Amino acid sequence: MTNSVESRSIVPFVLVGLVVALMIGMVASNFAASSPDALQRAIIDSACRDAPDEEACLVEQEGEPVLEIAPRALLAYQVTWLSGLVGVIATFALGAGLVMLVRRSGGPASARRAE
Amino acid sequence: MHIPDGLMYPATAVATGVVGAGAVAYALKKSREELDEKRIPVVGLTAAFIFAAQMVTIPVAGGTSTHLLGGAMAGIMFGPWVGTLVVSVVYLVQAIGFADGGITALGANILCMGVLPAVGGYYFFRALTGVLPRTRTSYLGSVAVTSWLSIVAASALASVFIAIGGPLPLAAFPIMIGIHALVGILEAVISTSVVAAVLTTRPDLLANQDRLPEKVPASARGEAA
Repeated sequence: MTNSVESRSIVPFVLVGLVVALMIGMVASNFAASSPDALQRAIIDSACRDAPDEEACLVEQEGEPVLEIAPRALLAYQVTWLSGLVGVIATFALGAGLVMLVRRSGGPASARRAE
Repeated sequence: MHIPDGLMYPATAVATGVVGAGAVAYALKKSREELDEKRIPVVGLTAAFIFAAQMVTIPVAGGTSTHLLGGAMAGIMFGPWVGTLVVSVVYLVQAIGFADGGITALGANILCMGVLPAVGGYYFFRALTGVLPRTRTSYLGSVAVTSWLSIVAASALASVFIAIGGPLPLAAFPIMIGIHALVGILEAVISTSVVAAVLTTRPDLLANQDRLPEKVPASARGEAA
């Protein structure tokens, strides 16, 4: 019953998916918004809630170093296409590699398969 | 929603780090049971896709921006612990290589945006699809609701972590949850689109085979999971 499914190669699906991920990471990410994310916005807004000059407080809070990307990054997000390329490849390799190692190291599922 | 270094009280960072590490270790162990060989490259692909999608921040109302988190989507697609592993890989690469989310906050970020949406989302999705008719609309509607709720729940948990000795006052909780109720809509749209694409092209790769719409032919299904 499942022969037709098992015979379908996973390779085209993964290749197409990787191309889509690379396009998003290397091209679409160039158009990313630079405004604070929702967590940063909640912190900024809550800090300025009762401030006498809310406008000035918001400007000051948006410059808080803790809310900015730390300078220790190996690859700055400014080099967007390279960040996308390295990040997509790294997460693919680490994700697939990790589960492959876990599978190969043996366990209940491997044991079931061997029976 | 990535929590940066220096925002949490140190004891909270240590505690969430220990629990987060334990959760990832458990996810590694359980992944053996949830995953077959065929889906290994798809797991890597999903991690890569989520990483790429998180680079694209989209402006929303009120001077804020958002991007996909993908925790619930990964849990629904692969099961709770493989899903946790997928997003943990993303947060690890982001924290170490890109300073997106603090290294001292990695445990908290994995708990908020990985374990909670992937594990909680998986079981919530199963509960929803268990009572709804087995149609494509119900299936994808459940993905959307689960994804939206996962963002709201994740924001509440992140608020708790930051509030314990940290700079987020209790008064900020409604703001935090309110903003995420809005950005959760984007999460629902993207997650549902991705799951719909996989459901159409390769339904055999999805977990929850017993919850697939009845119209998916038996020849297109995978092993029961």
